[in-house]
Amino acid sequence: MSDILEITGLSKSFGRKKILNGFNLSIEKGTVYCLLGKNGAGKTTLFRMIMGVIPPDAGNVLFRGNMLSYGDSRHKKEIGFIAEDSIYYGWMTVRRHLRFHAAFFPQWDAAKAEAYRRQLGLEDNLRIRNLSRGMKLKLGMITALAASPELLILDDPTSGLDVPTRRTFFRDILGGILDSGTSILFGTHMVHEIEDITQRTGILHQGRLVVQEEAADLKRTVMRVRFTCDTPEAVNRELHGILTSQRRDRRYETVIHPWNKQRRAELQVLKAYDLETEPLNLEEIFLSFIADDGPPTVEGTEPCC
Amino acid sequence: MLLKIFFKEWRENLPVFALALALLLALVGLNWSGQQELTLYLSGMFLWLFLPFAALLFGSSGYESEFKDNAWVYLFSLPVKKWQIWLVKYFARLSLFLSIFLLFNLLIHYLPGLKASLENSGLLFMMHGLLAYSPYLMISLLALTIAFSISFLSEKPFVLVFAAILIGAGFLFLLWKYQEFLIMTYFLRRGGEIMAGLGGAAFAAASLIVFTRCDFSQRGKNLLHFTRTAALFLIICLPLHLLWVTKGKVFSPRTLYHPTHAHKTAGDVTINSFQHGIVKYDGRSRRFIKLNRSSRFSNWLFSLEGGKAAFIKDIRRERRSYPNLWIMNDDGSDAQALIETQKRESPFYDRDLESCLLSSDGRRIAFIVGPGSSILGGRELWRMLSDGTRLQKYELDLPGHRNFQLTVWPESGGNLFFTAELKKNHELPRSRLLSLEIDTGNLRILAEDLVNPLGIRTSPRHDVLVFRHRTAEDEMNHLSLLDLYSLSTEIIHSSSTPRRGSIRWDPHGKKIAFWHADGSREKLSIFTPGKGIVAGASYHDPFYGLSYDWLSDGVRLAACRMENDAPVLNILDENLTETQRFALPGELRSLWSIWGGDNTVLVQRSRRGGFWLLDLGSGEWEEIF
Repeated sequence: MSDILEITGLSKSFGRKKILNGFNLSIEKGTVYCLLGKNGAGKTTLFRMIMGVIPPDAGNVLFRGNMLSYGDSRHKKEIGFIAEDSIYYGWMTVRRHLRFHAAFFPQWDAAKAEAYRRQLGLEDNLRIRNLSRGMKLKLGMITALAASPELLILDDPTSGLDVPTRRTFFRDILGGILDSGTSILFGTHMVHEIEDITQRTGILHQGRLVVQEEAADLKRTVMRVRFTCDTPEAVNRELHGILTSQRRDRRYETVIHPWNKQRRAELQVLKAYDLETEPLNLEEIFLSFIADDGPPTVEGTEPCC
Repeated sequence: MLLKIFFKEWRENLPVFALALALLLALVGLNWSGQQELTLYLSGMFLWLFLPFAALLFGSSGYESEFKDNAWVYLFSLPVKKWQIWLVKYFARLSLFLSIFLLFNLLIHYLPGLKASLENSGLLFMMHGLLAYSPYLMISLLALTIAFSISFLSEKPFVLVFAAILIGAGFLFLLWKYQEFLIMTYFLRRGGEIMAGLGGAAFAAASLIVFTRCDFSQRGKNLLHFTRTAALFLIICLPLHLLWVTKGKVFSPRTLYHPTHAHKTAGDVTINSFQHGIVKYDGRSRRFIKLNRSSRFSNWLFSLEGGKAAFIKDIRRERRSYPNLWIMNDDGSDAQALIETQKRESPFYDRDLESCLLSSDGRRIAFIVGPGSSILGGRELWRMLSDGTRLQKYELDLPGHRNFQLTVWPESGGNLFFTAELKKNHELPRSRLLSLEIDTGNLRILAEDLVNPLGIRTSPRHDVLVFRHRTAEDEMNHLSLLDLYSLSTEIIHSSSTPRRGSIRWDPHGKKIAFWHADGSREKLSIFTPGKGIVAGASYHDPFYGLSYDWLSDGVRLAACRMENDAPVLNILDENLTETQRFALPGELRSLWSIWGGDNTVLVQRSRRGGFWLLDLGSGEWEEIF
């Protein structure tokens, strides 16, 4: 399957602070890619650069194999973008906004927009500045979806929403998009929400993509490993892939990636015993990767046994 | 889709537009209710305050809604290029501002009373019947462009407004220093206008370049880039401006404000004055001869009589201008300064010279002296022989008067004629024609409510004046004659529609050609004492009303008119019947004025300057200057 979006070596700084540093990412057509990163990790900056809102300092963005330069606008017709906060003109009514937006997208489906609006119960004579956060999200979804995008970028859309609205979003809105075969790039820090929908997951930390794998593979290759070792001074030297590590006397509790035959062999060399392994959920995996003391992990490792 | 952004910008700026409409409606109401004084104040406020501030508000609100709602992310994520966004936003604001300006023009066009009072007040500069080229338009467009150019740098509109005012004021101050001209009098001469235009363009170009490449979220970085880029463009503008000014000095006759006022026809010789010197056109050789290259010269302050030419030009000393009164023969020889106000020993040290006039025989000279750098003080009228001796002063006891213009000094008759403007508190200024009795110094008011005092014309024999004036009681506009010896006046034409067009005596002083209103059109007519008025064809474009003159035979008239949107020159006989017709070269589509010679017609081009000569015998045009 071909990549709809491919990013290589993307860098961006604000002043002296490096937000992205040689960032790489690729999304296959028709898949859901979840980009995990804590607040301030650079997800929003990345999405704005893909949308041509801000220029990158370095690196390339390819959309459907075509290199994009800052200032290109044609690809924006094919991408739907839903931002974390409301980014629409507050003085416009819902109706005026949809009419304004439609003018820029030749493939805009007014009937579809109207159907979504009715389905989501959004009144069209309300001013955007008077909408609640949930309603703004609904408007964002209508705005993005009525243009039938090939790629939908969601920048932490459910952040700050109450539980019923979040549930509506995932059940009523996102469900429909997933069925339509639209590629999705979903940036969030609320991992548990996307656990069921993600097909490929990347974790953004300290400006780089520290891991990028199929979600199922990730769950297989990241393992919580408990063991006892009589030569603790050798553990850090001989055992590789430790994301987090806790020790009580000679007993270790670590998260290791990738957990594979080589790691097992390394533990045998260390003469570790009382070995226990336990798989992690996505949220635990995410936390392990972004733990500040955790070492960066190489990308694209082989799954374990 | 760009139209959507265009209309969005209009919608966002509608409150300022609505305020403009309200002010214009108030203006209409005041005009209809006959409150002239209030109308004038509101018009002045509209032109000098509202327009520039509206321009500033339009400009500074460039990205206000984008900042306010964080909508810049949305706008830039739309499939539109950033340079297109910049242009659409700029032109939306420009069109908003120009719409207001156009509405004001339409108001003036359809309310003749308003037009007349504004013209009299000096608030308007009309061209082609429109407020076309005027300081407030220049200031406003500059303010709009600068404010818009920097509007993406900050989310605080008032900071931008003040920044734009500071930048604009600093820019104009530099222009003033650089150009060394009196900003309030001429405000922006041609060189200044070009620099202001180039400067505005430099800001706009810098803004466009930085905007299309910048990261909107990094304001500090953008400010730095913008400052660097704008400075670079401004530096590039300087040599361009110098090139223009230098070229203009050589080739362009610049602003011939009132060419007919500053030229005389004697036989086949026409002398004309230029801002950058005085040039004589010799009809026999059909060539121009430069008589005096003096710069800082204004043809408002020029007199040519009896083989002599007198003029006032400025001398720069210690960053100040000092007017000097000069006299020379009309061949350019024997030029000498009669009065030098920069010299401490002169009785006129640090005084203003406001007008000068030679007597009709060229033997005597009169001039008006103002208070100079002192704010208080009245005007004095002085006279002397043209060799600078026998200086005599007349106190002009005319409180509240200003804008004195010496009109004519017949060699016999004992009176000197001049105009002055009376300004009383809360009243419109009124121009009047006065005479000064040379022997006694007595002043006499001869006519009130003059229309266009600079358009008064003296007969070639210096015995009759013809002038336009109004009578307040019946609101009629008249063309009248004043006998300079008996001081009696005679109305020769009246109309309810005001006219300012030029008046031409024939070279023998027997007939007067003039323009008057004929409904919405203009009509050329000839008045002959004893015979009355002969009226000719009507013309559409009042601007072309300037463009006619008698030929040297005193029988035929040359007049320009637009025909099927193309300019033609007609030769008319004494019954104003067309006898010849010539197409004007394309370069003369925009012409300033024409002079009739001996079977020739001299035409001055308006833009870029230059003179063209038509030989009526061969029908051939020749560019001669």
